[in-house]
Amino acid sequence: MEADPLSLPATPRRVREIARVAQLPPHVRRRALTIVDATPDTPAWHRFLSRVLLLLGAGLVLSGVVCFVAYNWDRVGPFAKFGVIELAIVITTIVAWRKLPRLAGQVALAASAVFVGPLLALYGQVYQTGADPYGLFLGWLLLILPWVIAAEFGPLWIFALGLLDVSVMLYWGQVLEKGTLRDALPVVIGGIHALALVAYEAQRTLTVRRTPHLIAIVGVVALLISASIWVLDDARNAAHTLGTVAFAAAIIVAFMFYRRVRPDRFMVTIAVAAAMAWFAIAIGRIVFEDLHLDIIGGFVMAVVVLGEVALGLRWYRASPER
Amino acid sequence: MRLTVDELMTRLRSEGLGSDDDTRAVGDVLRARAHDDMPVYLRALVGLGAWVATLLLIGFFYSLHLLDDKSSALVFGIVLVVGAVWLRLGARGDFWRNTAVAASFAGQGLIVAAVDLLWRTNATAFAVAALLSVVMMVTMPDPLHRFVSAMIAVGTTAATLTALEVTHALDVTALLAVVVLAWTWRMDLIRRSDSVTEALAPIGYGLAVGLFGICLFGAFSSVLVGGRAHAAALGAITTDGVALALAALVLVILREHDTTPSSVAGVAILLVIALFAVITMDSPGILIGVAMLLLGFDRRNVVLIELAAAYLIVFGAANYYSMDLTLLEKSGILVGSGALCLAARLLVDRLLEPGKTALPE
Repeated sequence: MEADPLSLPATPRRVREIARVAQLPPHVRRRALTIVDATPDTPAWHRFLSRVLLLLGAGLVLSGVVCFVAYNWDRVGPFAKFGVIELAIVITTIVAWRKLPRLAGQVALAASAVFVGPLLALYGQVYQTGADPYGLFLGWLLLILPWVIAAEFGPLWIFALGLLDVSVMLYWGQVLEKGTLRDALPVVIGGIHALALVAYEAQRTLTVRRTPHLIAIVGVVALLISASIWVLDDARNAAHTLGTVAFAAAIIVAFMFYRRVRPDRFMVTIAVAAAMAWFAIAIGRIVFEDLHLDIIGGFVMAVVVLGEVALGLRWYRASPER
Repeated sequence: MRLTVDELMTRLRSEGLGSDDDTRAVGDVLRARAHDDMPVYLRALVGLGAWVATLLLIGFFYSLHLLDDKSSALVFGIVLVVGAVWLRLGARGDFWRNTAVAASFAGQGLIVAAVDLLWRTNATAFAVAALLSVVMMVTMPDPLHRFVSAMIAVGTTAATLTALEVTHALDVTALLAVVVLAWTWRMDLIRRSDSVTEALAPIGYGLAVGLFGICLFGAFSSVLVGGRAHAAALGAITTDGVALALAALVLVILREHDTTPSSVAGVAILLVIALFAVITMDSPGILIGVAMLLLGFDRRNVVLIELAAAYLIVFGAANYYSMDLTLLEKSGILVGSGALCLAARLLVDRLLEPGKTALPE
């Protein structure tokens, strides 16, 4: 169904265009521009500043604590360092307990969760455990998981997913020997993000669409890397063959699901763009490796990419649900 | 955050400046123009495609050995750029529009490479690139091209000044960018013609991204070049300039809220900005991000707010690896500025408690 054009935001650019085409009188045009160009009112500024200062303040303080622990200042004893971080965890957790489910509580619990990382790092510094770094990130994730669930805060879920990604990548880099399993890293990352996406779409508490968008982008890029290696370098590699199949399946499922079940133009566009990127890479392989068009190949590929962009835009504009 | 067109028309009708027929006519205009509306992520993908095509075209020209002869590279580059402008002026479809953009940047790349080979000085090549970008912002009627040209203009200006060994090269570039940004986003907006507004919109975004880019480069410059007091690092000059620009923005906003700078709210906000500038004196990237966040909200511009938020996250990560300051110094700056933000939040909640629609005098 076509969206109501009057529900579009009244941007200054749009108002100017309307005034020009609809031939609004100059005084009406001027008044309309004055309304849309005006700074927000006091209550709107209050809401914005309150949120921004809270998020910014928490982010800056957390970054500062991470830098402090990383500095490993020898003039401060280990127990003082442990004390400062543990005190910070206790204080932020109490604040979270008092303020949840409001934003201040969510941010405070997110801060508690982040402080756990420096605490584990400090433990490693003081006792020289010699453990692999993936263990730190995995331990961090497992310890904070109850808080992540309790906070019901999208950015904290993204942070937890990031910790899992880093743990997996470090484990693959530090522990696994070279072989099929090691080549399967992009498929594993893609699988983790697919599960996270399914979980996000199944729940009803979190509604911000930026969260699944971010999860999907990382997952699709991981699978695109695997599918690209398959087409460019190693078509007999089982891990990349699996990655290519998973990539194709992810594109088809995302395209169908986000068009019909839960309409989301961003997701559909990302699916189409990823498919187009893979096709461009496949054509590039044919042009440069199979046809050996070394000199004119750049020109051919530029035309292919520009043609794909034009086709993609034509598809977007022709989409009925737009 | 922003009124919808329907809400705007309702408000105009309530002021006796419009009728139901006007609203219907506006709806018809928007329906007819829906073809040209594209979300930001789609514009970004189109830009990425055009950029990849540009690199492939440059590779093609390189494989033709065009760069072996400087004069022919220069002539071919100029012909390509002029042809691209001509093509874009008459282009109807997306394919030709994006082809014109890719051809223009490939042509500019050839010109800059030829100049570099002819004069053998980096400063000349960078200066030509900066000049070309400014000229192309005016002559090439394409939003994507203007956006990228603005970014390139900021980067190549910084590179030119650095190559000329100008003291505080990045600081000077950052301040220039801040001044142009302030004019683009905030000054004399209503009196501008439609064509100037249309041209400046993508340039405003390009300047913002360019400014963020040199801040990130500044954070890494000491890693790349070495030395704490290297001229390429951003410092107190930028912090002072951005703090002044932010204070000016706040004064304008206060005036639009019929509040004087000597009011409780005015003095408190200006004091917080001054304190923030003092704490982050050696790390201006934070203040730049904060200023852009506020500008984005003031302009009710979600894209600018999200750009600033993304920049602050990336800058926070980059800042960790910067060698301009020790981790302990960074820790002090970050905890100090964070604590100030949290204290400022308490102040804001007190000054603007719910129910108040005006700032206290």
